[in-house]
Amino acid sequence: MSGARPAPSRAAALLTLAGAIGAWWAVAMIHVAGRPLVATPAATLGALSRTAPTLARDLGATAARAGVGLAAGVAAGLVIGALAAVLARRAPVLEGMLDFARSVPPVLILPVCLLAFGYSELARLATVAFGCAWTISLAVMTAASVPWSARREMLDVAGATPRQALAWTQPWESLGVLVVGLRASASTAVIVAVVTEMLVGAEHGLGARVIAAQIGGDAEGLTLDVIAAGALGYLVNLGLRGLERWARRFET
Amino acid sequence: MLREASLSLRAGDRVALVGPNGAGKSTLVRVLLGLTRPVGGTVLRAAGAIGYVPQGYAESLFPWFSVLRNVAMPGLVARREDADSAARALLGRILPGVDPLRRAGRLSGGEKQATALARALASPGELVIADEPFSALGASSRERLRRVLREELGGRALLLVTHDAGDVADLCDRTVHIDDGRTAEASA
Repeated sequence: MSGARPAPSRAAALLTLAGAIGAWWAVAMIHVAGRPLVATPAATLGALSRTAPTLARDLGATAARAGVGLAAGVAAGLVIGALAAVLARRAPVLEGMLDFARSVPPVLILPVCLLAFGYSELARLATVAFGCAWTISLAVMTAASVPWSARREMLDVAGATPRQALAWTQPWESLGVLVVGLRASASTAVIVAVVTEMLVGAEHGLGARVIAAQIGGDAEGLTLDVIAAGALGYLVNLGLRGLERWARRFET
Repeated sequence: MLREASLSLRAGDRVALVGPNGAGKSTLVRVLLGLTRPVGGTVLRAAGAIGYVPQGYAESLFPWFSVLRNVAMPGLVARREDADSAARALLGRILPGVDPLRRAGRLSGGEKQATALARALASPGELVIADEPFSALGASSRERLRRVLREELGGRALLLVTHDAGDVADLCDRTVHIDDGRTAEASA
């Protein structure tokens, strides 16, 4: 049986939003050891109006840290993935090794980076880059191992050189896989950036802000910071989902 | 699987390859094109490009490029300066209602097949191999494209895989039957 998906209704969306805010308010009413778990929506809005400028600065710091780390990770991942794609034909074990590296929780590398770079911004960026590089390198390997397609056969029959065949197909056939890898890496970058800010005293950033709010018992600020971090991750994901949709258009 | 398959084409030959489903028609074509390596036997062919319409025509197009670039592909690969203008002229005859700059991925099934045929005809090679090139087309389009194919072929050789007696009568002067991987030649 196939049911048509009902058309989205504005009333249903507003009702869902109201329900979510109601649920948030209900959770805010729960107190553990005399303290609220989260601040109420109204109190959180109040905190936003009080701290908007510093929140914007910290949000920007986290976004910049995630962005720079992601860029470094993508650059490293592209190089590692391309090299691995070439070498893996002779040594397939390389793919397993990359998968293993990807499975190492990136924040565990933070102490290694701290030893290498000291308590500096570089250590945080290197940790974010580490978290992103392996996902990208595996995406590059997957893209490089796309099976010989009918399009490649057409180019072969037309007398194209291997270089021409590569230019006509590889970037486009790889685009979808690479954008999926980029999306996964961007989510990792935001998470790792926030965690590194929490673990090593960053001057600015959502992670540092969350720790400060927790130490100060500032439930409103803490709730606001959690929502801000979620919003940042959501926006990054939304943007890259758009990019992924655009890339997928080329596949059919 | 091919067992005792033999097929020869000379310049200007127009040969139909016919036979039941699974007889080995497409396999023989792939062997001739060098896309499938035979375990035995010999394939001799003149060097150079071949115009080819595969059975899986939709997957053979470059959906990210325009219809024009798809059709111009053989000429562009051969670095011919007139690749674009030749492709545009062919498209004017084969797909007159379609914007040449439209993305190939957005074409209908029949339009994709017509684009694959135009691309094969845009090939600078002396041989065109078409594996059921009209299978997705309606009767009137089929009739029109048969005529275009006949005219645009010029002196080139054609190997046409088809189930349609009309295609054979209209386009070919020789017929090769294939069944269970064995070929047998008959006059058209």
